[in-house]
Amino acid sequence: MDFTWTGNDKKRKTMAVRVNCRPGSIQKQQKLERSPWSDLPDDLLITIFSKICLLDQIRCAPLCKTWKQLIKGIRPADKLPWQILYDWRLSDKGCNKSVCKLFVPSHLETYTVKVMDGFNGEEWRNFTGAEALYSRYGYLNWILVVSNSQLKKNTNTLVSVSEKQLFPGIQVVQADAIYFDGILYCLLGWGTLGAFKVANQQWSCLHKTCVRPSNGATDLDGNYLIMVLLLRLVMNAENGVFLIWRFDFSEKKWVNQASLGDYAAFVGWTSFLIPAAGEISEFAGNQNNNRNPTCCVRYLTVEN
Amino acid sequence: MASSESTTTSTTTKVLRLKSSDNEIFGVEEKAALQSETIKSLAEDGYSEDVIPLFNVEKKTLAKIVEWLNKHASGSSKEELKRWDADFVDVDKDVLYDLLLASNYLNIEVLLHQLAQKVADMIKGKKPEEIRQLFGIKNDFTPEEEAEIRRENAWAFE
Repeated sequence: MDFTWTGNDKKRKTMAVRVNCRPGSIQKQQKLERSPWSDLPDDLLITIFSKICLLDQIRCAPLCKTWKQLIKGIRPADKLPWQILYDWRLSDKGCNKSVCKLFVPSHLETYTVKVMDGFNGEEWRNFTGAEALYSRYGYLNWILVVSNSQLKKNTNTLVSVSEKQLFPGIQVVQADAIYFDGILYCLLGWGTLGAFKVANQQWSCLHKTCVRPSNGATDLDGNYLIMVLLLRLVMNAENGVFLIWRFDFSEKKWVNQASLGDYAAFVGWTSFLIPAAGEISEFAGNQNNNRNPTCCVRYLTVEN
Repeated sequence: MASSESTTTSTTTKVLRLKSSDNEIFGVEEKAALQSETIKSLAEDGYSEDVIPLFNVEKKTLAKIVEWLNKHASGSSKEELKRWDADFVDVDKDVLYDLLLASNYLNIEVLLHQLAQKVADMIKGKKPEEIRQLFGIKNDFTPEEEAEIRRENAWAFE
């Protein structure tokens, strides 16, 4: 299932047409029979589905065709990012165990996902040492960066697990890539912002800068590519010094920012920025150490 | 615009008469009733002196809706309203279904979102089978189709 949520938010607005009841146009009074929940008006179901988290959306999708169709495209109500906990073991016979777990904050539960089932031989070698990096769509479309030292190739590889695609030979700085609207934005070396269009697998360079992201977090504003924040953690400092940059897409350049504004940054082994709204508004403007998760799945949160 | 606003404020004690689909008439203060966009537009269309017919809402549901409208126009504190609302939506799923449809038809945005949130809370953490049973959802997938959808995220269904 492809979780993109560009369509139905708009649909909700256009469907919220005022019910205007003139006597002549009113339908004949009829005994309201209790039809099944799957037959509720679409805009009502959309309102309901926009209030449930991604995990519940996944579980509601196989119930009936109407629900599946409507859920596809509705932004889940999750407030906090999922975390991917990925581990693999080598034995004499090679990689015999590779476990991916998902921690879902909305349900405070951990689920085991065995992602390596379909990968063997050359393919699993590509995944050896893989690090789950990012997804805007929860687990479903997450992307791995592989630093494959075993093959002695100085390349990282991007992999979209749900699409089982490999994009070899892409130099990606540790822990920063954002997938949005068919384009993968990556911080390449020395602050270069590259855009990788998944459909035709073409790279373009959006901007080069002297800012070096030794460790950082980026995010895109939900309103179509307005903002990327880049944090720089100066090594050797106890807690680091955070520099905040915003990528101005219209000017195509990085702009130094004084504050994080309504975002909260979590910087650690992997890092992420999230809009600090609703239940997590207390984090606004904060930088938080985030050492434990092997990786976090990120996506934009939505507010009413 | 300005004239319609002054009309509204000068007639806050006016009572509108709402008629359910089964011909029960409810008197509701205009200030409370106008929280419904549908009633508002009907009132603007000249129904305010007469009975406002609500053909899609039965009396037992309309009684609940009127109760909500009155409470939310009563000037209760935020905390009290929150408690009251939690009790209000704590109903069985058939009543919830009727209230959802009614609040959608009457276009009462705040109530609609409260009810939708209640449904979302009922769904949360449940397995598909439990949700199916709770809401009586008929499965219109072939077994193969359903298996395919589940296979995409098998971990979520274990």
